[in-house]
Amino acid sequence: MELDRRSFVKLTAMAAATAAAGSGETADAAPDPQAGVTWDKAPCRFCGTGCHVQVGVKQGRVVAVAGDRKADVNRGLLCVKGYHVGLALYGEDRLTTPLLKQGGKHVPISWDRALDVIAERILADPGGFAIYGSGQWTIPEGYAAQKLMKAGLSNNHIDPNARLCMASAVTGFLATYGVDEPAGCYDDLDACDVLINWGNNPAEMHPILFSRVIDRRSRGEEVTIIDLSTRRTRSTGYANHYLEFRPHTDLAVANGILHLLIANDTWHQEFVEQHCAFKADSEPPSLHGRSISFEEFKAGIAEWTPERVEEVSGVPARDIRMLGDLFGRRDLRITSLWCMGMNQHTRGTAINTLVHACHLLSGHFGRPGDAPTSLTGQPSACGTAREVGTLAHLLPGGRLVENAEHRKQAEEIWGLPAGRIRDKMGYHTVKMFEQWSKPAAEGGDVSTLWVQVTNPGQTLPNRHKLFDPGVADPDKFLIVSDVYPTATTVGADLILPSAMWVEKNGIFGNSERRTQQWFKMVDPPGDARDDVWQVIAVARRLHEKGHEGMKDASGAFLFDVRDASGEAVPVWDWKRFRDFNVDRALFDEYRSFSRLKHKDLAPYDVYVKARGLRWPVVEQPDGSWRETRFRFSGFDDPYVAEGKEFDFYHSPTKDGRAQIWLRPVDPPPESPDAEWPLWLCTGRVLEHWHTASMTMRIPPLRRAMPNAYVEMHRDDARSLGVDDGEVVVVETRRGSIELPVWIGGRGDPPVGTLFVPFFDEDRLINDLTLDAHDPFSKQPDFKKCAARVRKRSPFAEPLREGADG
Amino acid sequence: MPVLGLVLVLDDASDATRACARAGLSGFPQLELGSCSQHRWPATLDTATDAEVEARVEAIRAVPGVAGVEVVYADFEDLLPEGA
Ligand code: SF4
Repeated sequence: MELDRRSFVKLTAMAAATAAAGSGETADAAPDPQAGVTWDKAPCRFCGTGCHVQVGVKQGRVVAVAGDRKADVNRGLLCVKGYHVGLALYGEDRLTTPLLKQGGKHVPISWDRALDVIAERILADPGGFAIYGSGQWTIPEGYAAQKLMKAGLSNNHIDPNARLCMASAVTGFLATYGVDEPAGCYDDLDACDVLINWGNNPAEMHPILFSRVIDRRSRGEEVTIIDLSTRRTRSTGYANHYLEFRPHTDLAVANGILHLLIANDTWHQEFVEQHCAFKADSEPPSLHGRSISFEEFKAGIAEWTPERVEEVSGVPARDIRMLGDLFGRRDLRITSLWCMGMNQHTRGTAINTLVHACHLLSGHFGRPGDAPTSLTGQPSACGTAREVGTLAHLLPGGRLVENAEHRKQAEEIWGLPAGRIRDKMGYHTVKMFEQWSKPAAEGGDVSTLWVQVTNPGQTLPNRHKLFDPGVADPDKFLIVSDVYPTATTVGADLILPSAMWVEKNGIFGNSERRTQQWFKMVDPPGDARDDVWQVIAVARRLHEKGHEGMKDASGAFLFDVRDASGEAVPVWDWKRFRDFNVDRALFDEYRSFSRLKHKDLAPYDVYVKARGLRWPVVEQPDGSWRETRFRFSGFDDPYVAEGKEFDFYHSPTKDGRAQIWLRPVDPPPESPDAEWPLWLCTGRVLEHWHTASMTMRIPPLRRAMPNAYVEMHRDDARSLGVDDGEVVVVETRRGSIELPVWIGGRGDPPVGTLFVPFFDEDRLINDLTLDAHDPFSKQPDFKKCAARVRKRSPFAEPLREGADG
Repeated sequence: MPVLGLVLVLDDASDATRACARAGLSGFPQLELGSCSQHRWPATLDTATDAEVEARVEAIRAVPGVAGVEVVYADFEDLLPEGA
């Protein structure tokens, strides 16, 4: 019988592979049917690439996954994490019941009691309540959470961990185009002649996107890949040119390109004169700076000769000339990709605007293959975190809490009494955790913090400052909704067990503005419940306890939902929650916010039938819905004025122009010196997704990468007298941890630099990182600080091995 | 143990590359090759234990002529814990 099943599975696997190896265009989305297995679509739970998977369910369990052949994003392919995604549901230590800390122990309690505890904490200090979420919130989840805060509690202290991830991309887009989100899309990867990776490693972090380019090369197409980085990565192996720059000097490299475009007179005069304006930093500093003339720009960029760039960055002048020449050619199409290397940077906004500037000044913009595109790390950083109002300064649809007109619009859509929404922005992530970690007597005014779908106990920088003190303070209260125990739940006063991925309905938005919907396929374990239900149930409990903010101007409950007959459905009652598609109601409500910034969304039911659609999604005369691939380009974007080739219709200067920035190159907040002689960089690995709270539960991934390590150069190891695998102490001014040495490692770090991945909850590298952040995006720099390494005491305890050794 | 459906992406679509990859892949008993379409070769990998999967995929990736390995299908019913 078993042989029969395996043979059958192998036939199915070969059929799926054969279809994916061919064009795939006529293939069915799902694999051939297997006995007892039903298939449905969902986006992958992990990264911002947003691959679509077909999920195979048998007897109430996910038993197989396949790449979705109908999905444009991945065309049937999956990476190592994606094909294991189904196993992430089945770790043996899933959280299955609410747990309240009593006498130092987590004790099971009922949901009813948990809701009372939360409501009482909020009512005792409504202004001291904060929510911290992430780009792993589905769109309805994030939308509900910010509505509870901003519309219900008149409290803007909500922020997502997107602040640690892509906030600088947001400010870069805003400062350049006046609106967030990339103009290009993944189609650019199929059309570019040159791909520049600015401090990122897509071969490991966005492997399915990178494979599109590698596949083109295998078909005989020529694509030049340029890897600009501070260390070699798996992506370097595919690069035609590896340009290694000193940490923090990417601004000099970009300035060198801008200098050469002017000096060689290869800038695109027509494009710039018609569609661009120039900006420089202002005093006092502001996101939109001050306007300058072309002549001022030219004078300011003049110092960045290739030789000067070499002196600052270490990149040879001939390579800077090579970059300048490429950008100066009209016959090439150039796509830039970036991710955390540019965003986790105390000059993150500046380097983002400079990469846009290289594309704008050279006119490499808006044609397929000519695009500056930021990639996101989380599955819905674009769709949820940046869009629905979960950032402390935003309301849904790109509205600002400090803009009276925007507050009025939100109050009207929500039917709130005028003035309900607070006019002051809430705490951004670092500030929120500072206020949480500071005692109340010293002004620490965040008393209760609810964390959903993220793990700040592992990901916050400078953890000893930003996380540990709040956990130790008996007056502070930490609520954590999650699916597994984490470094954050360890410190929680109340743990709420959550449903994950296909245990609930959901909608994500990927890196290319693509909104993707899926339906619940299996039940969550035990008493785990949807995050969106948790938010609505808390709101209802507050309503029952008389909180006026939980009613709109008509007296209706804030999350009032009605069925087709107009009857109210009590979705806060778990027994009734599934009687109604709450996602549809919340998404269709949120949709009404999406027009202001021309990020139009189609109705929920349109996404049910699609493999995602890229906004703006605009209804056509025949009733169909058309997505947009290239924003601001007349040939594709419906909002570009008739007859125009390009139109930056959200221009910060309100004249249809994008901004080309002049930026100085400032020193980093901390650099190596005699006492702390090494650069420390942190990041991710292929096998694990972020803090590995899910991927560590997947045995093959755990075995493939069981614990963190410190990569160092052979010469540094030799001068320290340490061998491969030897445990050393890595320390910075903020803390120290013990790690095994991996000489060379995967990244082959240059002399004087270290790399440590952050996935390992037993070796918390963020005890060591800096909380210094970009002045505009407030995003901290996880990529560089000064560190040292010393040999471990021979009397120290042995280091605990990772699971499975 | 998991059964994987794979697409091996070859360096190019030439006969020489295909022959080179075939020679390198012939030493993988758990790998079954389908019929190659241009530079993309469908295959299945059926390992005795899940612990072998990553090493096998990496080893296939290292075969001369193979530029990349994409997974398109994974059946992991055998890996699910009892009662899940
Ligand atoms: S590339 Fe990202 S979205 Fe695609 S399968 Fe891998 S982890 Fe999932």
